Amino acid sequence: MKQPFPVIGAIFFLAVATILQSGVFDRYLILGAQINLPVVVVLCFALISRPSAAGGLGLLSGIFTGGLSGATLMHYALGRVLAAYAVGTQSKHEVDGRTAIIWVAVGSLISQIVLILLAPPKPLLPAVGATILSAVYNGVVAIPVFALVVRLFRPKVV
Amino acid sequence: MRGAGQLDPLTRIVQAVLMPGVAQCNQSMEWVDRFFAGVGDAERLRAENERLRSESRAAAIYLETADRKELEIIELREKLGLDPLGREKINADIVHYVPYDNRITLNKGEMDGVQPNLPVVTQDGLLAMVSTVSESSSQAVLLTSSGVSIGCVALGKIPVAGLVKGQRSDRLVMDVFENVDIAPGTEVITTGYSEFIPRGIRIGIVSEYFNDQEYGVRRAYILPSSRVGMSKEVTILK
Repeated sequence: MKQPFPVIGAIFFLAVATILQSGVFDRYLILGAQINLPVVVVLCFALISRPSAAGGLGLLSGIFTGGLSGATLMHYALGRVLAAYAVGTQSKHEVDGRTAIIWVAVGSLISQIVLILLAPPKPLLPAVGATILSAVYNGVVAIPVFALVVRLFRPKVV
Repeated sequence: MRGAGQLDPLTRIVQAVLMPGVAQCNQSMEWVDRFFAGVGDAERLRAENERLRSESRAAAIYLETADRKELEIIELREKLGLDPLGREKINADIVHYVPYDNRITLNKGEMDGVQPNLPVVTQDGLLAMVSTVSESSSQAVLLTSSGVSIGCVALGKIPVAGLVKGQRSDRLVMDVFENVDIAPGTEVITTGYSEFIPRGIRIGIVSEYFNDQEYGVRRAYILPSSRVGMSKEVTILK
């Protein structure tokens, strides 16, 4: 992601995902857990970006989500930076759709676990259960999102 | 900054940029939720709609009958040589209020046909009585003034007539001359035994009833239904 188009595109995607999350997905719980679209978008971009760029996008995502909720920015930002950076290390391999599902689920778990460690919810056990379920949902949602991101933004080798 | 009740600049920027989109999304989702809720409740809504339609038809028939009866009453009163029912209405605005004197000034006067002693009403009931009239304005004394005393009827199981007068800005007192009890919540209206005040104008609701058998004092305290401040527009019944 060295050209301006992918950077602007990623920020735009992230902004839209944050708006959709706050306006749509936050309204619905499926078995006590919900999809986290901004995390999915960040992790999908992380799979085709350098780790540092992925971390930057994670930071931006944390700022967007924390800023909208009015909560502490650091909690969201740190979790997402770490998750995006970790997933971004896989970008040197050619990641296919199936692997992307796993990495998005793992990244979602990392970001949420960091959040739980920084601001432990009460009661803890249902939150952990919801985190695992949410990671699964994110993995499923990653199928179309990753396909779109790859189609639009993955650098083409000529 | 959040601790001081303010948002930090970054959060302010994020909210300024993203919040309109979120608000739009929320509104759209509420429409969607309402639509699906409507689909889910369709059967109940249909039944309710049918019930309301049938009630509306019954009400229309009732109103038509009532209109016909009213016409008959007017015709009969004309034949008997009685005064016609109904009053000419003069719409006015309250332009001044003096709480200390329980007095309001209205923007209609002699030129509009306003005369002393005419009742001033709002949609909630009797508010005041016109006391002084000038060419283009008039002054009225509120019902809550202790200087105003008018005939009233408490519409309990047995209607009880009495005299109501103001006691304080939120309470009227009704002197009852019959040895009966009036339940709190009873509606009180004007008697109509007056040249100026027609029957049936709402005065208030009985909040308390005091019956001292020993001294023969019977009083009902009334919460006035119409108060200054509830509306600026009033009607003077001519």
